[in-house]
Amino acid sequence: MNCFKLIVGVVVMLMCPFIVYANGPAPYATITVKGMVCSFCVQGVEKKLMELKGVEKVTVNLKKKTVLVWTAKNASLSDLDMRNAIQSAGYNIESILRQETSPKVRSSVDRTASPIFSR
Amino acid sequence: MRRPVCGIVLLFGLTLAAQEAATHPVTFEDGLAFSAIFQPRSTLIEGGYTLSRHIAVGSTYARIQTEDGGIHAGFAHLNALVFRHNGSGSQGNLYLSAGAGGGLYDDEVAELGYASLQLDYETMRFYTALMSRAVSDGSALKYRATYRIGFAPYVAPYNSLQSWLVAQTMYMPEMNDDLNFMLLLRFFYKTVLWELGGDLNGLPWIQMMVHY
Repeated sequence: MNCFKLIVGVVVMLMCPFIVYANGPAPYATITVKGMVCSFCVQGVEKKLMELKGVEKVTVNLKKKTVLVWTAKNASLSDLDMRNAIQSAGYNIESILRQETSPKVRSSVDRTASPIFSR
Repeated sequence: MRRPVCGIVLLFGLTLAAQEAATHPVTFEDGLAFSAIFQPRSTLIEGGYTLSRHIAVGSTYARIQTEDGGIHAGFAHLNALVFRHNGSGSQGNLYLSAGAGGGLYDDEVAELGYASLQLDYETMRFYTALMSRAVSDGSALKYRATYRIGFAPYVAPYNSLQSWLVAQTMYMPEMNDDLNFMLLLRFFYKTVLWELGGDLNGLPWIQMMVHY
């Protein structure tokens, strides 16, 4: 029995790095973008978000129209920062979901979008 | 000496009809766009820099091969994104452009004015655009209208190849065949676009566009 526990323990220890790598750190924010329909659009969104201080990585799911933003440790981004970045790329934000808040809590940034580009 | 100047306006206007397909008039703030279109007797190269979400500056160079030589023309233009509709999975735009430049033909120089209007609507599977462009040397005015419709048979992720089938028709009032039809294959890979195709008379079309 002890031998079995030892084997299980060793296997778990060996698997830990892979489990951590597979899950990875959660994104700081998940943004749903309106008007993003092609890879040229994606490029603009990525570029403007990467210019924000503290942003380390941005990945885009074009089909879902979502943008995942990763930041440096202890970095902080406001909704306004992200909204301005997306708008300077030419698009609008539908919603922002933050990692530290409940997924059901949605940002109100879509209500403050520039009226000229709102539907 | 009127003929050569009118020739510049006419031929440059013909080439400009293709320009809408060349690049987006306004991209994203601080964005650069370059494009080139090659056809057997003409080349069009364009670059643009977007100053803000609404405004871009651009320059265009066109070379048209004629039986007795060639025409070189170029101009600078200001592009404005007048309206954009950002929908959930769709985008619509209204662009206006105006500019000035010159053409060189058989050692004769013509000053040219240019204006354009573009309306487009796009989803991930459907694309349509209507463009109208005009070129003038102050006395003669030539204009073109182009309509495009495209369909993507599948939706690819950002890092994969996206393909489109595009049909284009061009109205050129002063030509004998005043309607020209063209079929194109469009390929997107990240920030590079290619278009390959030709018109119904077999005239080929090759285009490349890059955004930075």
